[in-house]
Amino acid sequence: MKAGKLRVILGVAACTLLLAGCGVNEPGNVAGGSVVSPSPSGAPSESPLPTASPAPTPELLSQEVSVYLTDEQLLEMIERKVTIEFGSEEELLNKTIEALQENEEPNQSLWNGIEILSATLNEGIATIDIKIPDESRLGAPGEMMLIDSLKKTLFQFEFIDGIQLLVQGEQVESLMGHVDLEHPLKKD
Amino acid sequence: MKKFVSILLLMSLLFTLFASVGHAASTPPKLFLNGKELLSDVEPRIEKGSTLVPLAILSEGLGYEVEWEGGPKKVTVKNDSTVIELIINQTSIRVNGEVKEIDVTPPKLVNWRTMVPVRLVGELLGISFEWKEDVREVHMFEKAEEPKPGTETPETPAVGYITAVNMDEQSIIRISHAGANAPGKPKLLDNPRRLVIDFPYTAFIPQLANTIGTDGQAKITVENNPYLTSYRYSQFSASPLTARLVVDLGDDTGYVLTSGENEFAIALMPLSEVPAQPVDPETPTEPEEPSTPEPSTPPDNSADVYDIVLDAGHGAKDPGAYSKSLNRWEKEFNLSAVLKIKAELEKDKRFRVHLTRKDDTFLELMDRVKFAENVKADLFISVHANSYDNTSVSGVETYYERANSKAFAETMHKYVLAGMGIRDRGVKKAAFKVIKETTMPAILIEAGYLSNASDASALFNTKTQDKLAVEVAKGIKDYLKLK
Repeated sequence: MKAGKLRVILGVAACTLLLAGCGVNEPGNVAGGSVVSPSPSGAPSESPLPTASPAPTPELLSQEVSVYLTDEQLLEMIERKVTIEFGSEEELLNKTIEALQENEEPNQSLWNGIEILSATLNEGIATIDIKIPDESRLGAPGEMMLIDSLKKTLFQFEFIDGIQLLVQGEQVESLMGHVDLEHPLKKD
Repeated sequence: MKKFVSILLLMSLLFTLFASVGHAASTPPKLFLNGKELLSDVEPRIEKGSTLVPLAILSEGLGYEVEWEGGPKKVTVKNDSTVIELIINQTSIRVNGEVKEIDVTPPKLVNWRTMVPVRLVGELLGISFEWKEDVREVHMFEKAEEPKPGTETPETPAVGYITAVNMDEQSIIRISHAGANAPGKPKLLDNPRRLVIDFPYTAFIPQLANTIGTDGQAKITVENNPYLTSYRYSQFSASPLTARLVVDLGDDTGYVLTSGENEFAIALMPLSEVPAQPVDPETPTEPEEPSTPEPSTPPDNSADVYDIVLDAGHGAKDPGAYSKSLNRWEKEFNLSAVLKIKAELEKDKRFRVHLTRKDDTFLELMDRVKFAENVKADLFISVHANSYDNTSVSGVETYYERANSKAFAETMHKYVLAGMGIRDRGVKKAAFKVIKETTMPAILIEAGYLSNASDASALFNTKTQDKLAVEVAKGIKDYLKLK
């Protein structure tokens, strides 16, 4: 996390307001403490669980998120629900992508073999830079569902209007040589 | 008159490094032709006694045909009788195919423009020069045309250059070139077994020419390769100018010669794997080509010639899906399959087959679409192989996107199934770019799953590929209702 101290604080604060306003947060999971500055060594907001230590606790929000896998026959998308705790929208984006990459047998994550180099959020556009190991290249239907599963997963968030998918920093015509990739992918 | 303004602009961007080369200190010279001043947007300059002028002076001012090729950074200037080829920063030039050393400043890129020594070029093309030191003026005079009957030679093709000769890990020898003429039919000779390929009106760029030894050839020895022991290249003949490549083949080696953009490729393989009918080495399938149909008269006079585009998916940096069980890549299957389908289809004169790629090259999806549109294809078939994490998934899928392609997909699917002999995963509709943005009936075949060991061995089995080719050809005839 590159975000400076101030940005994190502002981000968390803004997020708190936003989510509180929408009533999405589950009160039980919201730590009662005030917004806490991150320690200089790292980003406390990344810790998955709020700690019960006497030390000031980062304010974490929690949300149930849908991620999409494919069934064992590569025929249809399967919804999987996960609960994600996060301190900022960008963190929610990152953790959702992590969840999207997990298999849940027998269903498969098409994103399982893709390396995420970075995922950032700026003015409603999620920019995701990836690396596709050659061994993870899919056929035509797999590539189609790979993109669809990402769109379906990320466009559930109000705060994401577009996805700028980059391959090692480049805007490529196609991820795997079958489907043309829009830059950015837009919410339908 | 050909103009390459956009290419020049592009090149200029690539060579911004040269922008910092110092400006000529003194006032630029003025150029006059037959007493009339030639104006140019870039000022001529004098370097080490030579006047360098932008290419446009030669073309627009003097009326020569000027070509610029970015790859080898080559300038060709010609009039009716003389062809001069110059390479940026090289003191070897070629005049009507003969190499000459020049002692003036070679052509160079200055301030983003290609500058050529005007006197050198002009004199070779029959212009006389006068330099007026006091007023810093270059005066050029055209000599009266002296038609020399008898010496008029039939038009010589432009000379091309071979820029590199290499072999990759797949035992494909690649001859990169700039404007080299398509080689003549390769000759397969015995004792020792070797393949001889001649490139007419072709020379080597100086870097390569320098590698040619005193024995007149450059030889590259290849160790531990069943297909060949070495390959060598030479300037076989100076008149007519001919470059030659010889490949010393193993006893059981066959080859397929293909041509791509600025490249000829000789793929070496076991004789048994050579497609039944060798790919025609003469005609590179260029998008703008549609070569005139052969005046063949099929039994049925009303029968048209059908243009079929076969699109081998992926290529080069995009290897496609991977077969872990065989350690092979989808791009290899796709290419092998289309070469076989092409050979099979071309047994019937009513088909003219165009391949989007004939070797291991990378093409954007849009290039494939444009290619099919340019040749006005009647049918488009993209050949792929599939992959999924679950290795038990297997079978053939045939995709279409537009309504005019559905019947074609349904017909072809039956034949692809018969060819592959594996599970049926059905005909499906999906918006893959090459079948979405083309306009003719177009399908994308996923011939099997490389991630499935059994499908993978079928995909890479020579006999299955042959059968697939036969069945696809049958399917096309069925769909077109051809006997």
